[in-house]
Amino acid sequence: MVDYILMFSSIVAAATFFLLPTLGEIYAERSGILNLGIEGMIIASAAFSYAIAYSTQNLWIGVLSGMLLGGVLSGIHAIISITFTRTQVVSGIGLTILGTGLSGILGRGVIGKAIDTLENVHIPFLSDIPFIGEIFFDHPILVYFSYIMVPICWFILYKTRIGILIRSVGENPEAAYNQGVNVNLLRFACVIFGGMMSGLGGAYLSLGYLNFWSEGMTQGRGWIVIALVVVALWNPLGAFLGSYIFGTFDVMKYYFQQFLPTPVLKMAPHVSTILFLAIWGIILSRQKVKSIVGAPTSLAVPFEKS
Amino acid sequence: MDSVLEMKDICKTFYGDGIVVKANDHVNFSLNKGEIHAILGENGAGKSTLVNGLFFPPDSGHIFINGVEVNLDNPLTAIKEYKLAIARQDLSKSLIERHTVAENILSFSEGFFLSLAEIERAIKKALQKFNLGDINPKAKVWKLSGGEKQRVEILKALITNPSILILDEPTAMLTPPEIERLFSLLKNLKEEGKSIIIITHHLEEAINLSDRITVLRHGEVVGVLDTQKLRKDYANEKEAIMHLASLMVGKEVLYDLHQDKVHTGTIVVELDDAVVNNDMGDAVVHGISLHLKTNQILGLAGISGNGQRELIEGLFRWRNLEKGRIKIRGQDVTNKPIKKVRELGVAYIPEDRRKALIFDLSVRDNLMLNSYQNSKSLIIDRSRIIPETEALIRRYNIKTTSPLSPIRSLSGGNRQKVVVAREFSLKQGKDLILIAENPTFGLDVGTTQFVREELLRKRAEGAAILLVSSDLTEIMSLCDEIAVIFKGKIMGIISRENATREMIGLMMGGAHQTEVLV
Repeated sequence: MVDYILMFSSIVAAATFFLLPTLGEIYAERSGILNLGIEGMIIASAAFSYAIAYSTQNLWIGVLSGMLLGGVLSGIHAIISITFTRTQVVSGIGLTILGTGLSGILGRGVIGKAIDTLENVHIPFLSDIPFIGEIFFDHPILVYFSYIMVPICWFILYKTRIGILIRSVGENPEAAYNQGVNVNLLRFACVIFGGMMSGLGGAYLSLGYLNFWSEGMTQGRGWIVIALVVVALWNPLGAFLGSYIFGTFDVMKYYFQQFLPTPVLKMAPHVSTILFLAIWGIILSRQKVKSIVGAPTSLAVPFEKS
Repeated sequence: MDSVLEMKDICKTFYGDGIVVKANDHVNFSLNKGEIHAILGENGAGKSTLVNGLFFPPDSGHIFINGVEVNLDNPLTAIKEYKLAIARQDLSKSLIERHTVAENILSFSEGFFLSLAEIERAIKKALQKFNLGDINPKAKVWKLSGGEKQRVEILKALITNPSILILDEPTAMLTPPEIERLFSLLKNLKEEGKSIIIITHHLEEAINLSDRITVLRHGEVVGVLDTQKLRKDYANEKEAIMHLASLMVGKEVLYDLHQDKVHTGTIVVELDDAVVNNDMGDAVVHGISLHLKTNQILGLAGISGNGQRELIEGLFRWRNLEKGRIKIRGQDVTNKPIKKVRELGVAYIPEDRRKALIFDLSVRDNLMLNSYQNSKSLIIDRSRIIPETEALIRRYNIKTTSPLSPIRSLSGGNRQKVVVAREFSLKQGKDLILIAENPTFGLDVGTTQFVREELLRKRAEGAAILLVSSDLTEIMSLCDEIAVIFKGKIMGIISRENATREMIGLMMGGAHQTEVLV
């Protein structure tokens, strides 16, 4: 008999790991910068935050260090792709390689070392709701942070001046620049925000979700984030939905072993990524659909002032 | 009078595709307070480059605002500190297609939070105040027509309440009544003390609206004229316009085209009740029927963006006809492959040269694109084709260092000559059906004249020609019959003898033939 509450609760835990970086990458891509370095930023931050938390014995310093490292790494990407207008794909992949290598060095001392990780926080009233409370409100604080970030990110992107400017810069940087918008500054801010959210995702992975550090522990899930941005149609609300769908695929391997062979279950997140992208590709191939919900028009196109 | 804006010794050079263009060569320009100053010049004379110098620094030169030298190195300083505003010509670099009108016009909102509803109200009010017609602020820009987009762009500039307003070709996509409204608005703004720069290549607009005119030619100022004085100096408006025209184009004065009387022949292309969709999947051509005859130039006049492109692409099989039929020489070719259409002798000169040329291939290879398939064996019969291409290069006087140079290294005019040479030689005499889409767009006077003469020569030889043009002068001087398209429908087909510029102009704005024929 499957323990449904435990299953749903672990879906929430897994989905949060997808949700945090996806929200950040949505901002980066909305501003027109594709950052393929997510995987690298996540894994490096996971190692770094675990190592810092271990040596300082302070979890929150660990979490902040992870965020900081994500921001610094994405800053490299920002300098290459915005300041020097180089190819974003190459720079992003380079960042992933760098981050993966870095994680090996940063986490070398803490492999197999245990520390107390982020505690589940009890929220009065909400956590006491039967069923719902046990699924959604019995988690570390970073999970609650991801809940509130979804509406906040959505609101900023669609309802504030800065959000419209971010979208303008990703759609038509030339038009935005002609109106007096500082295109490069906005893009920098968005890319670094994306990096910090990835860093937070990494910190959550090692300190709040899996609670250990081992090399290659992301298992390529950083790449799924890039697909998730597409599946979410570059919308924070879509990111919420998408993350929970992929979170479900991610935990299936623990709960459906009696129905399906383990290798099939382990494949599920990756196969479904390809399937989702294929289906989305077909839907988005129609010009009309594309102009309503498609990718930002100037995504991955460097902006050079005339 | 005080000059609010002075530009001295402005130089700007563009480097690209192996050519160096001196877009502005030591240009001086001054704008007085409360005047409308027209900058007149042909395409590529450097008009837009000059005003862009106010937003992006030119290579060299000095700019004074109210007598003080300023350093305008980015648009923000120009807009915020010096209250400049510009409505640009190239809307693709100025409007964000996927955003709504309100999201495009954010310039007057401040702060972090914003209420789109409030901006929408402000836009509605401004539209009324400036008499710019009705535009839904909630509409996405890509859903708007060309004219509506242009009005949004003008509103975007006006709404910042600038002290210097710059309009770059504001009338390109407006209908005559809309142009009239815009001009009376500009005159009102002038009364309020605003200084206005209007860029145009329409001589009438310059003469009727402005106080002074600066004429640019090949990046240099060739004259600064006082419009009042100009009117006094010449007996009538026509002579004044002729004077301006000769200034604008230089020594090569436009001469009248010699058009032989030819009897139009038999129908070769029949297009019946065609319905064509645009890229968005919306129908933009609503049941158009056209007949094309030999020895005839049929003009398709209309403001660009009224379905011309889709109609031509439907006719030439770049896109499917949703409904209707095409018959060429009696054969039904509806939705048949493009190769079949071309074998029946349909040549095509697209407006966008990228649709006709492969820029990285040589001049010779591009000229061969029609004929290489005639080779009998698997290998292209170069020994036969090369003399043919050499002949074309001589015949059309294509200026290239070598037939093997890539198209990229040629100037715009010579690129167009390559297209014309290839397409005109597709078939001879009555076998040729030619679809020409703004064939003289962006060409200098000499090449323009050359292309127009070639069109008339082909017509005399028996070709059937469909000429799509947004240039009324071109339509009026070349065509035997003129069809006017508006919002995907034909407003009427008039023979040239019965047509006047005014009639065509009204029909381009949506009046039916029956309303304008008296």
